[in-house]
Amino acid sequence: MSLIKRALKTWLLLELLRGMALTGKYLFKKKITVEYPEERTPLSPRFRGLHALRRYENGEERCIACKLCEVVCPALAILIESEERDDGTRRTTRYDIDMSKCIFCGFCQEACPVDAIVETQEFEYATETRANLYYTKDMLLDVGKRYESQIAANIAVDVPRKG
Amino acid sequence: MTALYINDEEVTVTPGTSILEACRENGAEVPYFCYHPELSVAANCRMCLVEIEGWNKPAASCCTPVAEGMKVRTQTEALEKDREMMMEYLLIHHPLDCPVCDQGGACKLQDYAVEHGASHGRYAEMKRAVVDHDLGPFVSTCMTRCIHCTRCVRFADEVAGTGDMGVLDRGDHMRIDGIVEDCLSSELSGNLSDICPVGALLDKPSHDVSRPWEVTRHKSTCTQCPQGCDITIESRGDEVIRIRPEKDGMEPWICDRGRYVYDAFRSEQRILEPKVRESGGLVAASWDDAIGRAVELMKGKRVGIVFSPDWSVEGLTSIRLLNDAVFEGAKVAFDLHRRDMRSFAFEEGLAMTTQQIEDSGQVVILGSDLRQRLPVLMQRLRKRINAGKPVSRIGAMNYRTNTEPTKDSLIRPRDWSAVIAFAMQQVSGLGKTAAGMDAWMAGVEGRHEAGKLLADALMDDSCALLVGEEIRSHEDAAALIYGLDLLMRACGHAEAGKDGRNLISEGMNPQLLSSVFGDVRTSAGELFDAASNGELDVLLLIGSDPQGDGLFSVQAKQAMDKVPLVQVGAISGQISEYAEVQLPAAAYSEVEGSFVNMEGRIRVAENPLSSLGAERPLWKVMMRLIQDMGGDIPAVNLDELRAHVIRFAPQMEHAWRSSDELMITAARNNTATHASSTKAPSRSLDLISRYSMYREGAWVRASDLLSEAGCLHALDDVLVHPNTLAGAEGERVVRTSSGEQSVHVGSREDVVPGVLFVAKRGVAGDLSSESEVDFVGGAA
Amino acid sequence: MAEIKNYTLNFGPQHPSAHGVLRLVLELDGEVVERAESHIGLLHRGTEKLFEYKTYFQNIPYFDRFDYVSMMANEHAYALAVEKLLGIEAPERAQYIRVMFAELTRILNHCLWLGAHALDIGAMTVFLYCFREREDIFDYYEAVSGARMHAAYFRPGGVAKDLPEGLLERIKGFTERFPGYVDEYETLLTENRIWKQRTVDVGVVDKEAALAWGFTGPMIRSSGIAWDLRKTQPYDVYDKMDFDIPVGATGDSYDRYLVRVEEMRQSNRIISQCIEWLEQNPGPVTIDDYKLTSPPRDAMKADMESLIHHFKFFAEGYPVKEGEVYAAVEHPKGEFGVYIVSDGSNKPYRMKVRAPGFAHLGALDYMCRGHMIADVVTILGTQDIVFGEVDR
Repeated sequence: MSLIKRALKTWLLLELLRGMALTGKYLFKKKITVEYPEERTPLSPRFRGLHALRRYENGEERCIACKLCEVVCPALAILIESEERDDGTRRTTRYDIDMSKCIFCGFCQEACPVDAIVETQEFEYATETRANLYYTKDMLLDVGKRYESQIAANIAVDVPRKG
Repeated sequence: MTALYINDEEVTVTPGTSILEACRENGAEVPYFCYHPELSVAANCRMCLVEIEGWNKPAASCCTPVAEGMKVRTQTEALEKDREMMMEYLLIHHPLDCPVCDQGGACKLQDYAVEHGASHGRYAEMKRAVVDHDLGPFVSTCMTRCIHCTRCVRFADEVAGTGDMGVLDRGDHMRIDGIVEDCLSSELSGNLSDICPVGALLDKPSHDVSRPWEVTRHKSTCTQCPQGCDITIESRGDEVIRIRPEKDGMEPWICDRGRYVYDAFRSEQRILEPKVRESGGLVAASWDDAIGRAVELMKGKRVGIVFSPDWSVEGLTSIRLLNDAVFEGAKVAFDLHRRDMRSFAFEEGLAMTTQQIEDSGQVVILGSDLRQRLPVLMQRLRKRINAGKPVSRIGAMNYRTNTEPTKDSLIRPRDWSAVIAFAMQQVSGLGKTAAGMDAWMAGVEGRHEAGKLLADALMDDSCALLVGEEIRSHEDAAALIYGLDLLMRACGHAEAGKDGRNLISEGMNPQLLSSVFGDVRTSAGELFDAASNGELDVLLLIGSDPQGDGLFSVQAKQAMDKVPLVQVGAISGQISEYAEVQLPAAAYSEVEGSFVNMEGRIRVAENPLSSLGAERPLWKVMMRLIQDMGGDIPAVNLDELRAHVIRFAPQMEHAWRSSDELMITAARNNTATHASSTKAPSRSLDLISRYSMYREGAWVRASDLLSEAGCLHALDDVLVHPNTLAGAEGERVVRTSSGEQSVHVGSREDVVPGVLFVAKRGVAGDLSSESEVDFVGGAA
Repeated sequence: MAEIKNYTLNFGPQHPSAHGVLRLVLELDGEVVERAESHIGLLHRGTEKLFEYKTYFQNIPYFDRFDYVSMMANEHAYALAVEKLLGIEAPERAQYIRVMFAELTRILNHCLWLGAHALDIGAMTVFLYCFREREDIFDYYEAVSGARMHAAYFRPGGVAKDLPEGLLERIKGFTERFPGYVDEYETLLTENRIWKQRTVDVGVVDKEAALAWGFTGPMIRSSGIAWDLRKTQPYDVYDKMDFDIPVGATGDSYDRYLVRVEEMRQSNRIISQCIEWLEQNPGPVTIDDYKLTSPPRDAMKADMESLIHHFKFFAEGYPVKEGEVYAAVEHPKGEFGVYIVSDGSNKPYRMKVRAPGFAHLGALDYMCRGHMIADVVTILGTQDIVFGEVDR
């Protein structure tokens, strides 16, 4: 009996045909492929992409040069220089992130006590040279300006850090 | 010795020690805020509570002395609870400032909050705030962060002696405040930011610049005064952030001059590249070109060398090697304040350590403004006075010391020999005499009663004389010092181990300079005169600024008008306008080398800061000069150079071979017998060049920070007794051969009449070489 | 007589089925492998040394980069090791989240393995199907941590953040779909004659050899030894989970395939159980001690103690008791262990990572001998090698 079964199986190519039927079925199914860049998948509010430096609504920089992001950065990608500004507040004179060193772990935004450095949902920042991946303070503030509404919205919807 | 148990371990400590100190000595950790080993005990932070068996309440360990058989526990659950509550109280009114506070990362409050405090706060009410006050250029305040440990108050009272901090109000309104609001008048004010355990008092110049985890620490020696304090230079990259006293160094404090001079490291006056004079201006050149120009100027010429004593031992020796290799017989000078070049019976340098001075039976300051000149030594003496030990002083002015000397006597500089003779008379009356004393006494006509004070002090078992600039710069210094030497020998204070003959030097490395340059040195004044008279063809100035410092600025100016100048140094100073060539040499913070301080303590700096420009260590510049002048290079590396140093000063060998502390002793010349002179001074007024810690030295003048402080703590340009120049107070113009200068003349009652104290640089030089002083009245 | 020399062939380091940067020197007698010598180290980054210079917190993201196919499983071992050293335990909810994501990671890993392995042997379609499921899991990674791969999500003391709203429903949907997907893979492969010809009796490892070579995970289970750390020394909440361990019979490549496919089904079971619990039980996801975890942002901005702890946590990390500790997890590839020596400071004195792939790769020579050259690809594939963890 089993001998006949095995012979049939062998000669009728049953398992191959079953496989072909499966792939054939997918031929007529709706495609799940997303045609990037015309189509995009939604991103999580927690997405960790390109960094941005934020400002308050009145235009004042949030960053107070506490340097916690600099010290926590495992990849040593952040470089900060600070001074006392004329109005007596502590401010950065330099805030650079080397995106080619950055490992996008998100520790800088966790460490920031004033929500100044954040990671945006931007991930399409490829450049032609490595030098262009060295983001200075102005560039980071500019990113912040472009994505401020998105950043604020994402911070608002994210659940509190501990449930 | 008292035996007690700390956490069940038996330890023995000296009786009278507090429990906290016993714990610290024996490695048992007890947290504290208000306790400081150098300050008195306040016991107000209550953080150092420990449990003592048999006591029904925990005790503050900082103010509880040990007792025999005491059983102390530092780690119990109840104590942890107490500490947690203490931390909660301290943090209730503390502002949420950590991210913007410079103390963050090096803050005791943070450390203990994490170690002993709760991790959640419960306080949600309003916090109090305190108004800040401007405490001068060095200390920034944020008094809301204050936890009222009163360390600063005790520091101001006990260490600085100024008492300009205090506690005002009480309870919730309690606050620490500067009673003198605009500035801290102490020359040690920079230490306030170090002793503040929180972020209330911070270092102003480095405010908001760095975090403690960013800095690299370099051990070094401060060369701003002969004290040669052990310092730690904190740098970020090659930028100096701040200078601090070394943690395990000899002195717990450093003065503001040594602390903030780093501002000059990057000032515009720094020489960072070789320069040559072209069509009137100095322009940058390559090392080859600049050396070539220097060689062209000096080769085969009669050269006079003036250098600063503050270079490293290796650098100074290389100057001697240059002298020997290519300028045989050249004139060499390094002391811009010494007029009398006869050899001294006891040469510059201390015979005792500062600790020995503090501990000795009697201390007599002879003619020195110690607070301006050696602030850290003065602090030691202040500590001594506070402990009830005598410090007497003889001098021309009641120099402000922020504490009262036990005995004080004002004399005119021309009376020094009479003072010494009177003291000799007194001691010989008590049967103490030394060979030559009678002859010396006989040579002096008058007697001055201030000698009584000196004689009394000498009667003690141990006596430390601190001979200062009034005597060292005296025209008859050798004779006076011989007289003092006789006195000390007569009273038995000259034997080894008891030697109390301390002559305060002008700069660093005094003992080494005596042995390396003892046979070739000459007076700076003579050297400049020789140049003016055409006996020299060129001047080589190595780090010295005779225009800005010292007594010979007029002669220096005349000399430099006459002959070309080759300048080697780290700071250009006022003489750079004369320089034909400028060669950059590395600053003291940037060299691997050794330094000897006035006590004779040798310290080797091993991890210097990286250099900022093209400057090289002085010894390399000297070797290059020797090579290009056609001489044989005596040393190509530091080891070879050190072999030459050992040739001159054999004691140095030990310092480089082993880590033991070794002191170089100051030179003693038993043959230097100088008869007392009765030569009457030519002028009716005596003149004292007054030392100002914020003005003396090219480094200080290059530092904006210290200049700012110098303006705040300005000494009168000219200071007199009201009777000396009646009605001369105010802005005046002084007319001398080098032109007119405006000066501010001030007067004080506690100054001896008949003496002009000149603090303004340049003017002192002018006045000292003028026989007539002409004050022009009216507005400047 | 002419001297006959075996032909030596360099397989990799640039070879599509060398799984990264393996350089395999094969000594061939015709098409038969006489000796296979693996040269590793081309992806060596000195991570273990780097750990000694980073605080315990800063080391977390480096664990994602060991076995970069099962990121959270690596983090899991590290989090457990540090927790053991600190003497703390994560809250129950965090443990459930961790187990859920560890099992999702297992599916993630096995999907990549299956797709790539099938592709190596010549089946294209499975690769595409497997990657479809991987995308779903990446989405969950992104939703929970913000990164699709290098999550840095498991922390000593819990997890970084609680699950975002709606995520559990999405994962639940996935667990319902997933068994059907596994059926599809099996339809394409399990009975397929070509697949069987390529895998059955290839690279047989019997029980003794598996033990001798230090095999763990699916490799040892397919040789017939029911060894699974989730059962033998359960960590987190695995002891509360109901699941079975599949065991192979012969220890050949086909068995290893079957074991891994079954593991995916079992993982799916565990995930469903976790979802069920997590839906019922809200609660904290990190321990409530700010000395060891960063305080929540609202507390940090409101009270002094929390701010100080926040500052110190990120600036200096936390000191860890002096001692040594070894913690291992049942990683998708085998036993992934972290050995930490602490000197009481805020940085590890020494950290050693036990990577399963390293032990497995050691047996490559043993498994390949006498096989044809094409079987090398099969054997290497069934070992499930990733060079991030082998070279470290």
